Amino acid sequence: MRNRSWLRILIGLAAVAFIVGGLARISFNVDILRLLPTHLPQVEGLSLFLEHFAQPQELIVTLETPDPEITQKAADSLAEVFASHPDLVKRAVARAPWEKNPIEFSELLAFQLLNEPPSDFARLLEGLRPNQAKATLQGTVDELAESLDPKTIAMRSYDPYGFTSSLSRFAAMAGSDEFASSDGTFRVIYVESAKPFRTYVDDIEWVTEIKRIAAEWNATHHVALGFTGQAGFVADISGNMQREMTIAGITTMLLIAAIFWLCYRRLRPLLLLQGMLILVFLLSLATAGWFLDQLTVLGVGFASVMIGLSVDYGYFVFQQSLHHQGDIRTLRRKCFANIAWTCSTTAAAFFALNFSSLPGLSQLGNLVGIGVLIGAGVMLLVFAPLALRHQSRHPILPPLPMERLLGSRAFITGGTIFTALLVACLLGTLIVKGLPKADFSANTLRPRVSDAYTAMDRLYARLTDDRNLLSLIVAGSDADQVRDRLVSAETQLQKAVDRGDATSFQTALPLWPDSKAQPLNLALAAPLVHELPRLKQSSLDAGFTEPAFALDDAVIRQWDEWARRGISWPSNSSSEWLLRRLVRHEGKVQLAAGVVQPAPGREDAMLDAVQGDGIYLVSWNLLGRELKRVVPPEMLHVMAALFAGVSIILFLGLRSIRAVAIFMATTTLVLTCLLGAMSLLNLPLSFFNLAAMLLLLGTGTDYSILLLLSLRRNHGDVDRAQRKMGVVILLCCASAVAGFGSISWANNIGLAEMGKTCALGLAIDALISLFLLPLAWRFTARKSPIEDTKKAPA
Amino acid sequence: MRALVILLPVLLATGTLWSASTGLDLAPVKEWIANQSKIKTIAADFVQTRSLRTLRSPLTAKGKFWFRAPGDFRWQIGDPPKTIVLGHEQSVYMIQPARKTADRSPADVAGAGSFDMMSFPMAASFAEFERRFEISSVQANGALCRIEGLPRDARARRLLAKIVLEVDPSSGQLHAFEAVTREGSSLRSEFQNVVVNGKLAPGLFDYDFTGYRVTDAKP
Repeated sequence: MRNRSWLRILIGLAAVAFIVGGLARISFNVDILRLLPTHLPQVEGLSLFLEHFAQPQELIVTLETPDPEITQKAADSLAEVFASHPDLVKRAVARAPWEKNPIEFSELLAFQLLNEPPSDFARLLEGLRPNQAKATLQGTVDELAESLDPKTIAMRSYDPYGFTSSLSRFAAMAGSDEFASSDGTFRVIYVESAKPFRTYVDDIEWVTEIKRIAAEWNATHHVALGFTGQAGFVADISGNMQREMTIAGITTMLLIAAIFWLCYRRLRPLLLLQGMLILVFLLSLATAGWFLDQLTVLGVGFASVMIGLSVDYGYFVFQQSLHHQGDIRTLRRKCFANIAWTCSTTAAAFFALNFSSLPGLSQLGNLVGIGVLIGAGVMLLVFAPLALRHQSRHPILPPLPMERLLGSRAFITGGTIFTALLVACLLGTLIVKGLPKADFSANTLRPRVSDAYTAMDRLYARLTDDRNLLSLIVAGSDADQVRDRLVSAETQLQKAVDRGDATSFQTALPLWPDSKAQPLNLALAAPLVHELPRLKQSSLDAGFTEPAFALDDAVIRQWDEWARRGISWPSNSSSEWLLRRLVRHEGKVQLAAGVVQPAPGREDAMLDAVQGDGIYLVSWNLLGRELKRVVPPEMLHVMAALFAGVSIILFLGLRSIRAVAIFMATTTLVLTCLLGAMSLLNLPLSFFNLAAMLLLLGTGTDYSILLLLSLRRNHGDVDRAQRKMGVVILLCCASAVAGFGSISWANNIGLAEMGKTCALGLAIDALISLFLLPLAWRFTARKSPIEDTKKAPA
Repeated sequence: MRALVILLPVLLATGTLWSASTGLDLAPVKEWIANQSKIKTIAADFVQTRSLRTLRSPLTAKGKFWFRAPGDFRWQIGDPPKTIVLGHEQSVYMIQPARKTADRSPADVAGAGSFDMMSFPMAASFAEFERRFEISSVQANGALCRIEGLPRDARARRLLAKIVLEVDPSSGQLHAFEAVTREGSSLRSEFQNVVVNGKLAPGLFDYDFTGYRVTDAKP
């Protein structure tokens, strides 16, 4: 006895250590691409883009007032306030760095010119020779007099020798203005964290602190502020995930408590059951912490789903304990077969989500699968003796009020008529309105409400909307490989433009170092530093002022410096700012980016327009199209396989073609009615809802299976089977609907849709299984009465 | 330099007008706008004078201008033309014949609106004129009237120090236009040999883009 106590204490301590250790390892990943099939080129390319070019340490602060001058002053002032917190902020940029010092452009220009083909570069330098300089300068003067192109005038007036003639290739990529709307009433500050974020908690804390500083400043400025950018998204979404996980879990627990109270009217077993559910939740979450990757936004939904399903075993155990006369061993034995049967089919359905190529769904499936197995174990091993002890001390004498209600003829007749009418109504809706509309866009992956998204939408509206642009990502192991791939990508893009599939494109190719051209060009350019006095005097003689020569002067000096010290990537503040969204040259993988403007209505054609190793042409719209093409057929295959699997298992268990046929007919009717309900409620057919149907096959089919088992046990006595299983099915259904229903209000649109669809499907499944399936059984029994007399398996 | 990039569309936007202030004799402005509606075609030469901070003396260039109501115009500089701006009600092309390139912008987007000045009337009524522009001074100079002010549009006000129009109120003609930027640069266009409501050569507002690279300018 004493040894057993020690054993219990040891097991308890081990469980506590397991839970604490597992929970400490939990982390969230808000990257919605983690929910999607990683083998898809769109997902792979977008992941590279977000990882390397989305600026995870950056918060974009937007300011808006009716007056441009006030907005500009406000932006400068707030940027200064941010910059005065060096412990928090590495830099706060409210204006393009080159506005303060335009000559900084020279570094990037010098670098880009060295990448020009040597013949072109030699031609450029030819124009600087003593006998050519005068003509070159006169050409510039003529162009300034006659051009109507603002860019040309702006550049050439500060570039008498025409170095910027190739600059336009990347000037467009630098963005028309990243900092202010055209009327100046909307401005943006880019705030970068002083330290990298180790976890989402660091991110939330930093963003909260920045918002607090901004709010303090705004107390005297009264500017409309917004916060977005990658750091803003992470803080917003992970904060939401944390809240939703807690709220959905608590809501489910409260609903389950209410259902239990309605049925049994006993406080102590209710508290015991709630305690068990908390234990199951903690053990499952800890297991996830130990063995699974970071929780994605879909994984968050697991808590309520798993609680809603695990409680079924608790209900079953408690219900059995009410009628049980023996000891705990016999109670466990009595419950084991049923729990093992339903638990294994449910867990199998959720684990089957691993066959889907959507990692987010796989994770949800693994979490819930683990959760229901743990739930079954906890209910059998821990809850069963507690329930039995309670029953022996405070007996609840059957029949319960709920059992009496379910046993009444009026209830069964009413339920049957109601269900038949509901089915007719849903089938009618399906015939009249047709299938639910399909929505496989990336919209279903985003949160419903998010300050960061709202601010980003405002930024799109006021500053620049690049949502229709495609992003080109080119990856390679070294600079030469990236350059070769960029050349290949540009060739393919030009063909797309020629075909009319795209209207324009810009890539980082002009900026990417050409290891062959650079040394040749630099050898030609380096001696020019000795000719600076002559070149400057010539420009003055041509009518230019001294500042006009400053840029060309700086370019030539930069070449001289590189000739002496070796060429390196441009690194001054202007260069760094321009390159940050275009190139990544550190690390094992080097990356170059670009943008492509597809022709209106030709986005589909661009899906396969650019191909090759390490070349990705991506956008959220293209991702939606690729998902629509790949995911639904895959989901349907998984559903068909699961349906077939469950039917085979059922046939092996029941050894009755009639039972399997009724099961298949019931399940088909449930899914058809669900489609009608979705059509009626305007729920779209998305990949999350397809996943919901998959889950229904695992969870909802339990109701028909339970009733079929009960019919076999009761030798085909339909009334008796309905009476016996009615309470269990209604309790299980109510708790599962509570679980799924509680995530219907989730902020993630896909997760919420999945919750609604599952809750609807389960309710329909329970009604059809409880009220219509027995009718089908009775109807077919008249034709094959022999089967009814067979004995059911254990 | 960057400011200049943003500024130049506005420099060209001689159509960016301004509105009346109190205490000014606005009768010539009203007369000028009223008489503009009588203009159906225009053919004129012009001299464009550009002053830049990076050049010690202003640059001049000669060009030609044609207008046909309601919204066709052709503005070209140089002989042979180095730059042609061809505008219709729907779109505006900036053509560089030597490079065989053309940038096309929808007429209703910012940038293309830079060429509003090339359409007549500049404002449908004085009320509209007043709604869009702020007049700081109106001075009579013989038969001509010199109007100074600024557009109310915030984008233009960010960049412009002032706009000057020299107009003939009795004929509705624009004699000169000048835009001065906050940065200190300016662009002045003076019209000469103006023929109003004359017959224009057919095909003047068409252009053969064969062999040209036509790109759509970013909105």
